[in-house]
Amino acid sequence: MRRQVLEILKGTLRQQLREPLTLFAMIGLPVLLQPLALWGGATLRTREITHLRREELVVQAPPAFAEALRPRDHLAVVEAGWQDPAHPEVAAAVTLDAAGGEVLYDRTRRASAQAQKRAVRVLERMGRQAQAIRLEAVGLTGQEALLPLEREDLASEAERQGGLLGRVLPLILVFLAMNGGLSTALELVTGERERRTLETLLTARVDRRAVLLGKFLVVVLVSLVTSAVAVTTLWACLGLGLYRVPGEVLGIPTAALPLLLGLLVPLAVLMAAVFTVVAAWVPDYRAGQLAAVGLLFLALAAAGVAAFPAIQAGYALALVPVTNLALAMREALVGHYPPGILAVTFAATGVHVGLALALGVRLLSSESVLFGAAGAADRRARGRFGPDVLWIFGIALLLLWFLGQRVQAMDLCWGMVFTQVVLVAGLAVGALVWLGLPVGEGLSLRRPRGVDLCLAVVAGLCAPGLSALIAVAQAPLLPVSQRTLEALEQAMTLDAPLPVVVVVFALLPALCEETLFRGTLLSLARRSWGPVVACLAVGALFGLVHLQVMRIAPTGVLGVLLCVAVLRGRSLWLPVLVHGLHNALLVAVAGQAWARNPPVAILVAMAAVAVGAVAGMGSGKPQDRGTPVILPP
Amino acid sequence: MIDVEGLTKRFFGPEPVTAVDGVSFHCAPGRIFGLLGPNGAGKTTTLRMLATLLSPDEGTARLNGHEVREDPAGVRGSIGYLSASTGLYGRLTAWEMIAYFARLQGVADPEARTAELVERFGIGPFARVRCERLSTGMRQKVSIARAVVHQPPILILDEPTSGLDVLVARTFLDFVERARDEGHCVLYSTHIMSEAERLCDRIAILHRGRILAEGSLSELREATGLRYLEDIFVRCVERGGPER
Repeated sequence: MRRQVLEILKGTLRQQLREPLTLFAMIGLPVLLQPLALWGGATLRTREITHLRREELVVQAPPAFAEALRPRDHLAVVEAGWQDPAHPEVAAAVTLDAAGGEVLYDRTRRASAQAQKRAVRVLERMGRQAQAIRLEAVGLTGQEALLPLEREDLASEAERQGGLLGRVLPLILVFLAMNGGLSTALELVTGERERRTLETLLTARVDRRAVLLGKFLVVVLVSLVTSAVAVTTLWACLGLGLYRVPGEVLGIPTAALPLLLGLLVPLAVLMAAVFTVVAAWVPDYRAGQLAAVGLLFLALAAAGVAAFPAIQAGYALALVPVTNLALAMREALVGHYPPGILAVTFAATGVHVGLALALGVRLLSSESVLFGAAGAADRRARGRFGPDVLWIFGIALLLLWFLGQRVQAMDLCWGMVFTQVVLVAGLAVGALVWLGLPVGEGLSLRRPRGVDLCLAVVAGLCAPGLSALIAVAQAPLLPVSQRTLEALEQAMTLDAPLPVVVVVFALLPALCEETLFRGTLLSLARRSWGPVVACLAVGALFGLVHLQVMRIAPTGVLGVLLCVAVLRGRSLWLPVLVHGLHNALLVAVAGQAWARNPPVAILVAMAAVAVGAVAGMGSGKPQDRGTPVILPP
Repeated sequence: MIDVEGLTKRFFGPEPVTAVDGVSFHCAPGRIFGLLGPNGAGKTTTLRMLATLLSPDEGTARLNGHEVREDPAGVRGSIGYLSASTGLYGRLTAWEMIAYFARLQGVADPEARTAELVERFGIGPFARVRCERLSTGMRQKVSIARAVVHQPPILILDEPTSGLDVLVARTFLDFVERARDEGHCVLYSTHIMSEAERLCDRIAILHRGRILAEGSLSELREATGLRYLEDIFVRCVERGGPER
């Protein structure tokens, strides 16, 4: 097979390199655009800073403030006009009273933010003078008696240079790696299918794994060269001083360059694997371009984590694709090379790539990949709903992230109702209708047996023990700050009557989330993947949808338990009951001191009872094996 | 050489359809077997199943001793597949295209084999021209060379003369006859009656996924009492039932 992979690599690469646009995108674009962008950006930024420094800004302030001004403060004082549309030139307002001074400003206005900085400087000077007068009054000499204030930046020059760049460079590199690789992948897989050359290739005596690997390696090379050229050009441009802005330090330390280039390899490999799979999966080039937008968003969101200095590289994040590499790049730029985390990052990326390629080979063997659009209906009719599970989950995630959180920020209670009923349950039912599947059967809306209901009550009352136990177990690997815990607790102790809180924040999410996860997604997943894989997959998706790293494992395990409940009891009402009681209990005990650190033995016992109760559901009646649904002709 | 028994393929698109419904036939070495049918009859689906591009829902197909589901790699090594769309890589030259597939198919001396085919099919004058700049006739010649580069015992030809002008089509039909004379087993799908009459030793008339009639041209004439293949074809389609 190695010979075939090499042949396909050589043949495909030869074609790609004959395409002038590919070469331009790989090399010409970064080499030409980066120096221009840096030089242009630096020039504009320098102009802006120079202009701001010289510009005299107007603030509304009392006469005492005006008296303390010096010429180099570049501030003019008026007595009124702040936030008056008739006086747009007034950039900030200063108030003075016995307690001290206060500056009112608008962060979004550049002049206002600058005026605030200058006003604070003046106020600090006034404060020091007042302090000196008081000290003199009690017999201490003025300036000498003041506590000396020293500031020392312990970061090295390289760390300061890399610190700023480390926040943005991973984003740029992910974008460049995608820019080079995605179009190539679409061209090599989707484009070849449309031109029917893929059909020709697959009738030759070539292993399909070799076809995929050969094309994948070409995408890797293009992606790698594009991003490596970009990094090297950026390093050279910064080294040559093309970005010179007063007071700003930007640069790639030479010592960090090799590791940075080394990290581009797993990034390019990962990106290439994902692109090749996506290119094999989409029905046509146009759909590929749409998928590219979604992929770009996902990858940039994952890489954007590195822009937050508070998020540190750790073993848990080293498992997250793209995020792990972005954090490793940031650390490399400031000269930190934690070997353990780097090793986990590389190993995890290897696993991600392997999984993606395995999926790619499967796709390349499927008829829908070869012969296009009719494939989805054909696949569904054969009872294979795996891709549908993923896109429904993707939509749910996007809706919750972009719409749900905003609506809840406006009005928590009604926002929660809207999110659960419309975005979660609405999506669940809408997806089944769109797929042409019977809603009642898809959601397992059957009346449960009495004994199963009793077991669900027991499981629901004990399930908090299971999720708490997982949280305790993961704590050494994923430490959670006290602030986060307090914020989480605060979120559950709302300023509303307890019945409202229980209904809106415990029972409604239980009903709606179960409709989506144990109803729609599980019923589709088990037809494709069988009950065991479906339970694990839907459990994992349930963990992910909670949008917090620390909650993924506890909610994921709970999700698996709820999946088992519906498969054994054959009724959605059972997981709804378990989930509802679980949530209600958490809401009820939130804020109680005794609930913060429960004994592990009790948690183990509760978890065992919950698992046992769910395992006991459905005993004595035949289990649903998940017969694939074939659409009627 | 080709043994097909009860081959069935269903598609579950917006309008679910059984594209191929229990098709069975046999083709020996040194023979041309024609699949004759209108557009949508199931010819291409049948050939795609035999080329291992599609998986049959029912039935078996054995090519050169290899079963399509059990040994797809063996099947692919035994066939040369050619369809109306030439499936050439536009940015490779004619020479590179043939040599590329020679290497992929594991030919012992790819360059020598390429040179031989370039000579045999008269590709020499445009061997170093990129495929995207070739005329339809030239492309078809390169396509044929690509399909036979590994000297397969079976040729599967899916409406190969579609879009070709009369002269190029005639050259192509000459090639098919030569292939038969050299002992290749040729499966030839077409909806052009004259081609089937000229080439095929046996003909199967396919309509709506089912074989309505099968036999040599003389057998079909005898069974229907009609002289022209077009009339035989229309009679079979109008009656709609199998006639063996």
